[in-house]
Amino acid sequence: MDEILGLTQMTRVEVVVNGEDMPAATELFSKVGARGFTAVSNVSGLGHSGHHQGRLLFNERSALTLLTVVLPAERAGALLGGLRDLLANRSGVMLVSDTWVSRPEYFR
Amino acid sequence: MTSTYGELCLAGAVLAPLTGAAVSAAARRAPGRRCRAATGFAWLSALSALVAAASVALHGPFVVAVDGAYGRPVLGLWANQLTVTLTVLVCAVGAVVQSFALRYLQGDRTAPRFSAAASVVVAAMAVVCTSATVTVLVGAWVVAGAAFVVVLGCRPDLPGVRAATRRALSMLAAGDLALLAALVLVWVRAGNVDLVSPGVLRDAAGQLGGLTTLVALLVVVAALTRSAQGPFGRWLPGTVSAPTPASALLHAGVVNGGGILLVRLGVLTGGSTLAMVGAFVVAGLTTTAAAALVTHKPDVKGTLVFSTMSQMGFMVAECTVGAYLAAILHLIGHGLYKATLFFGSGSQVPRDGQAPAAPATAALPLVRAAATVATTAATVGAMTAIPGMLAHRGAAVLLVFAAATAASASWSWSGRHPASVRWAASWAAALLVAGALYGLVLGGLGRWIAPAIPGAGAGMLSPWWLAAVAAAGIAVAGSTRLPSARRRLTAMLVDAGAPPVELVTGGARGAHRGARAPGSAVELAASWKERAA
Amino acid sequence: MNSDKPVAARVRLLVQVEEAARVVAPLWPLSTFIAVNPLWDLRHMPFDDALAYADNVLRVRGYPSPALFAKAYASGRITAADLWAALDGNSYDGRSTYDDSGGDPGPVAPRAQTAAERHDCLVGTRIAATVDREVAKWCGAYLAGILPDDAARGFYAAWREVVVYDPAVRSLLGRVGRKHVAELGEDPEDAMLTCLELLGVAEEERVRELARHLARMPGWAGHAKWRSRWAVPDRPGPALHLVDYLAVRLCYETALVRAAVSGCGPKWRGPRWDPSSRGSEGANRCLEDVGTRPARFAAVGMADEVGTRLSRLAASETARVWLSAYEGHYRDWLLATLARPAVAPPARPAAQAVFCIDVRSEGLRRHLEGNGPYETFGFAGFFALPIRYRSFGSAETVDLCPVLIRPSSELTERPVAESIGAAGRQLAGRQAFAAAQNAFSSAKKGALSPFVLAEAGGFLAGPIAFAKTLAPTRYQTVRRWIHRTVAPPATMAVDADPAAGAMSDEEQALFAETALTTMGLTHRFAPVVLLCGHGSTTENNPYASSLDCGACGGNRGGASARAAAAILNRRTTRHLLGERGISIPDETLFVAGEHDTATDTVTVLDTHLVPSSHLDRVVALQSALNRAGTGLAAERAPSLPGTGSKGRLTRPSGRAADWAQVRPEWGLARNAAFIVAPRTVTAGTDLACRCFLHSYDADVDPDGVALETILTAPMVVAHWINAQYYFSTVDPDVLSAGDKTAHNIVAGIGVVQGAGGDLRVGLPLQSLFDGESEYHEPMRLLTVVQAPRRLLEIVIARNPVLRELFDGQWVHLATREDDRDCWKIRRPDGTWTRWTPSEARSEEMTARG
Repeated sequence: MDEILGLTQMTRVEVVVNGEDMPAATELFSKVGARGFTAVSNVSGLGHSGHHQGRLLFNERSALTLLTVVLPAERAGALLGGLRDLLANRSGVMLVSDTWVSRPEYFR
Repeated sequence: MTSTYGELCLAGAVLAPLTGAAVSAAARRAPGRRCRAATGFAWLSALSALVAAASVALHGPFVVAVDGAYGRPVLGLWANQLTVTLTVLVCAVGAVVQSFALRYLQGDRTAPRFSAAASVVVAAMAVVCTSATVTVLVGAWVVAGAAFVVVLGCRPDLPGVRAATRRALSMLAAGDLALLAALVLVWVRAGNVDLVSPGVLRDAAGQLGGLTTLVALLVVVAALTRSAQGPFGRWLPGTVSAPTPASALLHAGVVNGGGILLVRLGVLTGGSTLAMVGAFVVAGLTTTAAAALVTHKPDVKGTLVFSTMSQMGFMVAECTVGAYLAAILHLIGHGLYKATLFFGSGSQVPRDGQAPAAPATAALPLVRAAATVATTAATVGAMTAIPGMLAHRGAAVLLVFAAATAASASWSWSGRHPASVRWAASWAAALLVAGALYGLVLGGLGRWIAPAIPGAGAGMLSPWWLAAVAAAGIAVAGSTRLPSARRRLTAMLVDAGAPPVELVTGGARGAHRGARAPGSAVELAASWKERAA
Repeated sequence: MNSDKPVAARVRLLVQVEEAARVVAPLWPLSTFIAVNPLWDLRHMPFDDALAYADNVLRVRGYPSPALFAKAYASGRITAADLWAALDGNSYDGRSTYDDSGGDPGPVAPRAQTAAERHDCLVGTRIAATVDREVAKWCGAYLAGILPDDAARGFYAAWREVVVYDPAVRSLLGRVGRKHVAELGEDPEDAMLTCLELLGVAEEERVRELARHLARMPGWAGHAKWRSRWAVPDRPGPALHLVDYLAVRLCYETALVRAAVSGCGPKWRGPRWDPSSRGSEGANRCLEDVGTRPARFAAVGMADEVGTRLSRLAASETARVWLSAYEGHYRDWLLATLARPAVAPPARPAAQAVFCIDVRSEGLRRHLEGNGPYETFGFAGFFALPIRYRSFGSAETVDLCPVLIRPSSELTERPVAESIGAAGRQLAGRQAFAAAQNAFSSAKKGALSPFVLAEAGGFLAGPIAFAKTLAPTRYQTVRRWIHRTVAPPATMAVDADPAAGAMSDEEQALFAETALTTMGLTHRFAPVVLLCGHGSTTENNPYASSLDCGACGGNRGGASARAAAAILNRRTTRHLLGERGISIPDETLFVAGEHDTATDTVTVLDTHLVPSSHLDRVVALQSALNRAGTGLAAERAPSLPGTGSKGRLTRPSGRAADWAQVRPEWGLARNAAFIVAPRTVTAGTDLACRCFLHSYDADVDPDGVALETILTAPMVVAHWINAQYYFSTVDPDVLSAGDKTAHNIVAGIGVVQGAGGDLRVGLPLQSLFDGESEYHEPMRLLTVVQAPRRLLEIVIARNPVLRELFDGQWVHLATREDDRDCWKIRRPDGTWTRWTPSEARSEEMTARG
């Protein structure tokens, strides 16, 4: 597929964390060399620990944020190890998938 | 007002704090009332000292003493322009410290002890300032040191106080021993020397003969210890562990004892070149080193402590070059300055969002330099214009330092002042007025005290040696800017200023509890050894 | 950046640091002091478990001392009935029964120790204290900007550059060792990994080891945690990050321990440890005292049955029971007091006033309502406006919102049209003052300039010191006069016009709607509505920010009030609010005010914006506020120590201007409860300034959004304040700032006690203790909510932070549906139980037999 569409395969990691854990998670991203990430705040949902309200007007630290980062597969291993440890004692989920990007130089 | 009132007031200035100390220490209950009583007595003593000064101004010097053989005083107090001015300073500072401590130490169980000990310090320092004989001076000196150690040790529960008190006690005691040894030597050769008539002191100095140098060195060591100079001054940085009023009393009333001693016994010490050179070297080096340390301390009280060491070094250096009047005026000004800074040391937290934005247009360096030079010249000119300003020894060198202060302040001002000619002019005017006022104060006080100052001794250095201190200061400041020496100097200075381990608190509570079983300890250490090998 | 450690190992280390950092709480700089729960990041554990962990790692005592409880029992603050109620099988904390066997609860887990502490314990060295001293020395120097080279590269890099020249390290390790200290790793994570390897710390023990490293100096660690996790990342100035801090600590520890073990370190005092000797003296000494338990005790003069029950309890349970009884007594009083019928607000109030939820406002509201037909509301002091505020001509902005959010927009203060020239003159005057201060500081630090400066300055400073000590209020008047002459005041207003760069109209309307709906002020507006922020004017007080408004991020609340009033007075905002169902009549005017809690004076701000039609109403309001303030000051005065003696300097008005006053006001001491209910529930009741009052009307909040907003933000702020006061009172050695008289400000951001060492966390003793006895009553916050229970349960269920706080018993919760309902207490498992006073319950229990 890559050759036909001119896309490069990379790994996409999406992680939902509390607002207060966002600085730690983004520090991990920069440590493995990810060039950037996307953050969507005030997400709500239902997890095994119960419901999570999305938008709290005056408390960003207790509301959930969805972070998306794309990086080459060889670097994803280290990040996944770290995120797994991080989420071991915190509420949050991590979703890993393959993705194809058209401008790989943005993500290397 | 006849001089009887003066005598009564002088005696009262010394007895009032002692009464206050007795009241504070003796009673058992109502700590608030005891402290208030002691404060009242402290203000009474300040007022009495003021009245005694007025009496000296109107009727001339007088003595309140018990006379011995030949009509010479054995023990008592002597009021002349110099001694009574110093007494007013000491009693006033003591009174303000007591008033401050009345509210500041509210709720502290040891506040009456602080009050009592501080009163004794004030009384003893007042006697040091006005004593009529050498014996009384030395005795009061020792009492002042001992009482101050009690002031320091009032709160042993605060971190670092015990260690600091021990160190202060041992070093001050060593200095006092030197002074006592000097006293013994003087007694042996010249008996109980009285300080009232200058001729008696000169004769005594002559009678010392071969022991002149030794006595001078011992007195210099005692003065350097009390004023925290060089290796004798390592007790001062630890004193910030004590509550703020103790520090204020120390820096305004106790450390300047060194200068007072050197001035009052100037005739004894001035004859020995060796002592004067030694004192100058130690004090000069301390001045420079402590001034460099001031810029390498992160905490407010630490900078104040090293600033005091530097200022006291300057004062001792002025004494060694014979600029006694300059030293006395410096002592008075610095005492008030430091006390105010210590009292206000809690206001150094800048609140957000209040500082105004810097002015839009910054002046060109050339313009700034020109403005600085102009303002400095104007200020110095205003100072010299005051009659009598240049009369005393060492005044010309002081003008150099005054010019440096004006230049530094003006350079900094011109970089940030609001961009209008009106403000530049008002700064220049303000500095001019400040310079003139300073000159007036110096000239006026100088003229008032000058008759009582001893003349320069034979072993004194020329006042231009003070310029060497200035040069050393500039050299050190310059070398901290050289990139190669910068890191080395920074590391040295940061470490020199940092307190030793005993004075530092960490999360050490319970640090030794809960160790592992002995068996595993052996394994643990063995595994360390393996990895280290 | 090249490094020889695999990325995976470094990433794992970062997560371990994150876990280890749970044990310290962030420490804000003194310029914006925020009261924080010291165990906030341990809230995923229940209260008791978190205390046990903190005891193990931080070495803090979590429960009040037996002496406090004994005194409370003797004075009747705790009664036998309270103790019975706390011991009861159906008690409110859901425990089925306390462990009555009195048997040995088993071995206490060995406390966490760093490698240096283990070594010190065994051998008698002082490595741990030396590491602390060195690290504290460099932290202070770095943050004060003393270390050369720009701050951009971080603490670890700056330290590495200078430590090779450090004489202290040379005397500890020798010239060769000094170089090795800086060669453990070029970047901090590498250095940490190398050090942990060399010290022989296994991977699974790393978190404990690092946690104990941070716990040894909770002040510097707290500052590093604030900077890494809470501060804005691009904040200017030297940045002390957590990883850098730990790297420096570990480098020192590794070097010193290895040197000591291999014998080439300095000569420590104490017996040299011989690996072949077993059971050395040091080890025995260390083993004697493995952890502490709260003492088991029964107070003197206790009724027999209660005493017997208590003495049969396991020691760790005793403290819990006593604390429960202590809290239960106050809860019983409060719920009984609030269980009276509602008091209707005045039918046609002359004015309505909205105050901050701060406990000190409770007194003012009570006095104001007693002074005339005034209706008061409570709302968090930032008035729902999370803004970055720039006062006229300022270099920086302040964030006027709770620290849980970041401000979304910026508002500026501008002069009104007629006042632009005056504003320019004022700015020039302020710049002149700043330049003069700058000139003074640079003269102080010069090479030659300090000498004549000290002399000349002294003759000016002497009279100033006299004036400030003997006549502080007069000195303050003179100083303010001088300031007004050099920088004359100009009329300013907060610019809320979107065209000038402020928030958009929609945003403004949203925040206005939130504020009004959350408070329940959506209809029946009075002609004048006062929005009153608060601040505190004190002199020579490093903790001045701790007395200001916590909801405004540790700043004064006047600017928030002015911004909110400006927004609510705009025609566009009112139009948009009308579309959303809140119609504010045209004749209603919003005015801003500020309550100075030190002097208890309330000032109406921006009076130039009041049209002539409302002028006499505002004047009447101002005089009512003056009377209320005087009443409150008179009520507060007896509690302030020293006010009994004659003298102006000990009265509340004199204390604020006095630079020698260590206790200008009590602040939020004795805070106990957070009440979310309409004012009708609490009006007329004297709550002794102990309750946070937030207005809430369930009738206008069908979805529970307002309730959720209140519980997830203002209640969290109140919990932080309450927990800070609790822990600072319960363990003053570690978790309080100590005695104010020995404070020494470091780098402008924190205080140390005496000469140096760790930064202090928490509140100073003078804010908590009156001499030797506690003034603040250490209790956990009791949240009282009047709302439909169904709604409350939904809100709790969908917010993990509330579940953690309520289930973990960090905060107690009591609720009722309306004023005819009975109070119900929430158990940790989520069920509700009906509240009965402890006397009634103890009778019930004795009747049951």
